[in-house]
Amino acid sequence: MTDNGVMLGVRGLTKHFNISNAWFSKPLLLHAVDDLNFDLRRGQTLGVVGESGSGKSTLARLLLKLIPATAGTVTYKGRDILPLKERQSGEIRRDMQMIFQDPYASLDPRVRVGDAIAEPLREHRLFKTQKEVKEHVARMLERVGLQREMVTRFPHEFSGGQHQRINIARALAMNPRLIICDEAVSALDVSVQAQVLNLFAQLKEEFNLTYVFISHDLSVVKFVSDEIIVMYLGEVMEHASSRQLFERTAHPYTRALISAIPNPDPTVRKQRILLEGDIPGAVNLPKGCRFQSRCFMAREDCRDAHPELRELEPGHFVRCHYAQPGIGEA
Amino acid sequence: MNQKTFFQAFRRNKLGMAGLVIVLLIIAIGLAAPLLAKYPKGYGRNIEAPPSQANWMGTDNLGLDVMSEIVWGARTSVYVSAMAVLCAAAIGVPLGLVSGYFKGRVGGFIDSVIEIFMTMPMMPLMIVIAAIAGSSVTNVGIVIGILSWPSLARVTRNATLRTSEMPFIEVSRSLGVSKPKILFKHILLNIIGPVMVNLTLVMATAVLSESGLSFLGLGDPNTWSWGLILKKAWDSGALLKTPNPVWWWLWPSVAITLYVVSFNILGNAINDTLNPKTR
Repeated sequence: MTDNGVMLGVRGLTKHFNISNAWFSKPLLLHAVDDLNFDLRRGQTLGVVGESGSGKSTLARLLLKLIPATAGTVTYKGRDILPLKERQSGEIRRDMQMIFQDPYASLDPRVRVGDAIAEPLREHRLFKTQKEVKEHVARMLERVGLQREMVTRFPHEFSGGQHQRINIARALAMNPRLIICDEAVSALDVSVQAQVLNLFAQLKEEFNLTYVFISHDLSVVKFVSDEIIVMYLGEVMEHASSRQLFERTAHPYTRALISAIPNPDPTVRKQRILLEGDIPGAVNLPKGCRFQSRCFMAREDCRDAHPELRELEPGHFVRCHYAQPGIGEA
Repeated sequence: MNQKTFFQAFRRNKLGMAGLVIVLLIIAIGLAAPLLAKYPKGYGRNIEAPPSQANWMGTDNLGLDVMSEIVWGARTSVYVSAMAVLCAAAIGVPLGLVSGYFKGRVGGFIDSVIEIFMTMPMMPLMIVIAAIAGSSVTNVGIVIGILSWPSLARVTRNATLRTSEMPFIEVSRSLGVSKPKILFKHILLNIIGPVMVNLTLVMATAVLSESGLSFLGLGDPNTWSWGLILKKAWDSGALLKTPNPVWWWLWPSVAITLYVVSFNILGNAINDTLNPKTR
């Protein structure tokens, strides 16, 4: 390994979808992800936050090569994985696992739970005999808090939280190094969310895992992440360690997201920053800052000059002309 | 799902079991025809005789036993429909799966081919091909199969398009499950319902088309089929006669209806059994 602990390196990763239906017309580009850069070290958890439409899920699919990238590189253990053919991707398919947003639809309704978990093990020939496969499947089910007898059941016999546990067991069975969670808990009840998040934390210790944790919920991301990327319309708005992001918030968008986290203490009165309107479409992007239309501190030049990502303080990147630590604090 | 549990679940579906029993019975009759009845040919003594001890389903205008004709007709119907379904499934299902899963140029091209074939009128084409290829029972079966694959491919394609958008397909891809396995296991398992129902329709069409071709004199004139019995009844004017030799045209009609309906029920029952929610 040629790295200094870097497991996943992303450089200039870009995905534009052509959403024009016509054959010969000029392509109509949707900027899902634009020029994304980050390094993820072994054993770390990277949180990615943003509203729906900010390009989070596209990022997850790009990292796993489920959709082709428009530009950029993704290196895993120092090797660029994007040009690899599917046949050459065995290691990536084993080492990088994804937990998807919809726990129900992530399982084939017509395949028994045990077969669903065993299928990739057989595909990659991770065990020599069927008996070993079965034993491994049962062990994984038990590890995520289910019973080994459940292998013969069908997915519809389980609750949402159990579904996600089965999905986790399936990912875990591959003995992965990196798990990408795309809104893995957002479809679950809050109490179940906490259980599944704790399970993620335990498994991280036990199996020495690295996570990319994607969510629209900043409080969830805060709970698990070492480093956080805040995305808006396909661009990184702020990228910092979890502590820096919360204690030295520099971007107005991050400030607004943080102010939206409910505080259980009723005596604490907080200034809420309400963003007006929805996230604009990522097709006809404004010339200047992509966030200016909803920014509470936008000025004249935000409309014309597109801000670059700059390093405000060591390890703390922000894309805003007027960013400063502790911005917008009451 | 393994086979043992499939049949355990299937047995609980009473209507489906009835359909299966009738279908198996007709197939058994078709296969065992030489043991069950003498091949009806020549002339008999009693013309258009009503059902009796000697002729349980009566006789036709040549005095031949209608039940023997039905038994030998079952053989033809089973053979023709099996031939047709095999041909249609062998072409239609893989093409539908591939065109539905690979949405880009490959899928678009196959879809255009399906559309071109769908615009072709089936009966005239069948007549032309049957006339050129010669009217043997095998040719009739193959012709029907080749001409009915487009609708099967279309149904398969549409179901595949819907299913391939499901997250669990993307999960399978992220786990490195091979494309053939995704296509022929996960997608096929989830679309088997509409495909089976459509296959039973091909069965029905095959029997009906064979009757139609027999009716037009393009069937195999030397092989008894339910269509041929009906054609002879129609040609002799038996349907409009009074007193009416009901037994002559009623039993082949019942046979055709029973065969088609049983296959439909069977298709639905298989669909219900494969869908864990309706078990």
